[in-house]
Parts: sequence; C-alpha cells; structure tokens
Amino acid sequence: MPRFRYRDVRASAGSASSTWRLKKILASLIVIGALSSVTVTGTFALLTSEETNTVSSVASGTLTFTDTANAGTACTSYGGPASPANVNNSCQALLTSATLNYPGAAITPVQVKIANNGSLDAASLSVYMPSCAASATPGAPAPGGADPCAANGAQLYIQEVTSTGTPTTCWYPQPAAPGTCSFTASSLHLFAANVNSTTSALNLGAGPAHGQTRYFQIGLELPSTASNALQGEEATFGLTWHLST
Amino acid sequence: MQDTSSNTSATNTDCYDAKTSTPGTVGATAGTALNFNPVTGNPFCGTALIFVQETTAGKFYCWLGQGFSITNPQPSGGICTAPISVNLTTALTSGASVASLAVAGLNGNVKAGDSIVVTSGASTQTFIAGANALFGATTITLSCTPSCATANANYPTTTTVTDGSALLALNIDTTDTLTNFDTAHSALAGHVQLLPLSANGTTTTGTGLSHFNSGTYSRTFEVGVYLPAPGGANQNPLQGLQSTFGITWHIDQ
Repeated sequence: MPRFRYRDVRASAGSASSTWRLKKILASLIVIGALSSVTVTGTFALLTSEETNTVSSVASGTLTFTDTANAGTACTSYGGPASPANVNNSCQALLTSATLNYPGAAITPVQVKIANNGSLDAASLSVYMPSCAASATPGAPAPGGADPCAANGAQLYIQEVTSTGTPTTCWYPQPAAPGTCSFTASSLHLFAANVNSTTSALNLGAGPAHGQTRYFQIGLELPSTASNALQGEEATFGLTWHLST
Repeated sequence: MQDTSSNTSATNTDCYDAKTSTPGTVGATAGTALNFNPVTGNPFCGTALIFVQETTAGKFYCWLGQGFSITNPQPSGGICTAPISVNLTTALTSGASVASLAVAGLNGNVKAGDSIVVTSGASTQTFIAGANALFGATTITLSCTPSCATANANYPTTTTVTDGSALLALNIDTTDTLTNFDTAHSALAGHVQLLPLSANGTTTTGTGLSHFNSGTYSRTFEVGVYLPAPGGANQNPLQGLQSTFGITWHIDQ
C-alpha cells in the first residue's frame, strides 16, 4: 500500500501523477474560495439609493354647457343618459303649438342662452336641425295638407344678441352678418335640408369660453304669401347645439 | 400591474384614475358631476402618453415614449416626440420673409422637416422646420428652400406655436401610455436602466452617476405627459378624470 509523504509528492509531480491531480483539486479549491470571497464581499458591500416622485397627477378638464329657452329651466349637456356621453336630447321645446299662427303674424322670438359651465373654453359652437316633420295641427278641423317644412313653407332665423337682447350678428339666413336678421323664403326648409348633422352644422364661431354665456334669438314665421294649404299644419323640429374644444 | 386605486400613499406608484372633485375653474363642472366618465379600467391612464427625455449636458436620449429604441445609437438621434406649445417672443409682420421663429424656451422637441403651426385668432400659417430645435431652444430655424416663406398675416407675441407633425404622430399613439409604462416597468417587471450617454441617442458603459462634484454627478430628464386627440374619436368619457402615478429613481453602487 503506497503512502504519500510530502517529500514523495514533490518528487512525483508529473502531469499524469496523482500528485498533479491533487494539486489541481487544491488549486480549484483556492479558485472557488477566491470566487466565494468576491461574491460575499460584493453582496454585503452593495449600496443603493432610491427616490420616488410619487402621487404625480394629470387631470382633464370638462366641456359642458347649459341651454335655457326663454325663462325656462337650464338644461345641462350632461343631464342625459351616460351614453352617448355628454349628450342631452331632452331639453325643453323652443316653441309649442299652443300658439296658433297665421301668415305674416309675428311670433315672439325665442331667447336661447348657451352657458359654458365647464372648465374648458369652447373652440367652436355650432347648431343644426336634425329633422323637420310636418303633421296636422292637433284639433285642426280641416288641415290644408301642405308641408311647412318644405319649400315656401315656414321661415327661420338665428340671431345672436347681447345679454340685453341687442342684435349683434345674424347667423342665419344671412351668414355671419353684423346686425339684424331678416326672414327669407324657404329658410326653414333649407336649414333642415342642409344643416342637419354635426358635420353640416352651422358654425357659430368660437366660444363661449368657460364661465361665459352667449345669447341667441330664434325667429320663426309663416310668410305673408303662404298658401292656404298651410292652414292647420304643424312643423315639428329641434335645434341641437354643439360645443367642441 | 396591481390596481391599488384606493392607495395614495407614497409607496404606491401604480397609475389609477379618479374623477376630479374640484373643478378646473371656480364654478365649473368637476368630474364628479358627470355621469359619462367612469373610471373603470383607468381609461385616462390608458390614454395619456408619457415620455422621458434626457438632456444631460446637451446630450439627448429618449428613454421612454415615441423615439425610444433599444438600438444603440437610437435611430431618432435620442429625440423623443415631445409636443411643443409656446408663444412667439418676436412678432411676425405680414408680408415679411420668415427665416426663423423666436419663441419662448421650447417645452418639447422640433425635428427638421416638422410642420410648425403658428396661430393667432383666425390667422394661421404652417412653416417647415429647417433644423432640429430641442428642449429649451429659443429659436426654430425654418426651411428656406427654395426660399423663405412669407408671413400671411401679422402674428403678435401672443401667437401660439405648435408642432403639427409631432401632434399628428402622438394623436395616433396607443403604445406609450402611462398604463403601458407602469405595466412594463413596475417594481416587479423591471426598471429602465439609465445607462450613461456618450452622444445623442448613444449609451455607453461606465458609471451612471458619479459622486458629488465628480464627473457626471447630475443628470437631467424632461418628463412629459400628453393627452392625444385621435381624429374622429369621442373622448367625452375622459372628461373630468385625474390620473395619479409615480416614478421611482434608483441607483446602485
């Protein structure tokens, strides 16, 4: 049985010898030990520093408005259903058929107040008429059968005024003209036919800014030249006001 | 990403939405008055875009947002698509040739070739940027090839200057949102390692932040948020919302 002694090891240090293998094992242990030393040292010496810019916030504004006809109740754009968002199709009527009209008779213009109660300015205000439908006046004994929404039917204007009612700009039928509107033939028909969606809406210019109000008068009449066939007939329509940033 | 919307403590860095309870202006409607702006799913976080633009010592690198790329150097030259909205500091006179625009320090980046829109009331004109103008710049050089444009109206110093090209690019961006940043780079998902810069859009190895008064011991980042306006989209459900989030900066030895 061979016995290794220190002197023997030194004397038999060839690469194939068991002494060489022992050296390699010892050398490996040294390397492992060194690596372990580095690793341990690195772990315990690591320093870190950290800061958080926390609870940063960004927020959006609101673009909402109220629409008030004459002395009625303010109708809010957000008073409708949740969808479609910020659309209220249930605001009060501008006119009712309770007052019966006849050709040439002046109808008191409707006062409409558009108030921006949001936090954002409106880059544009527009208005359109989704539809105009004719029907017999309720209770009329002998409706004439003509259509007040058709050509040569009722006439319409949209007049911007100051808060005290002084005319400033006629928006329809005279386009963006300073001063007072006047009725023109077939104007209700033309408005309903051509200005009936958001894409074809009548642009009323910029504003109102947030917290500001714009005032309009909506005028309507049957022309003095109206046909007898317009007797006992009713026009049902709405005006939609649209704000955008 | 964990939605910790009820947690507004300093340790909460998730992005979450809430309705605004205080109006932007006195007397105006706040988010809580509206019925069409639900916070479910944190829609504002999922729409608002974020960018992180490094500007250290005049070297630019886009760490986050449009313009970011892992390619080294970045194809964008390190320039994030960051919108601008500033005023002229020198008025333009109708009929005068315009070679450059003097503006208040830029709060975004303009790239050469971008459409620069000046607007004053009903007057508007689009110029073409002739060179890059980056964060803090006070001049936008315009293209004068083959000749400089002529101002089509008087533009006073209240005139607004925007970058139409940047807005166009950002308005269709659904990637660089607060939510996506939070999801991709939460404490669990991994950090964005802010390597040191050697040139615009180019990172290098070495010390990311030297010790005080030595080398680059201070680095500067511009963090911006933009609410895109995609054409034709109804964004009413985003009215009156507030996104809350945080960014954590971390250094190792």
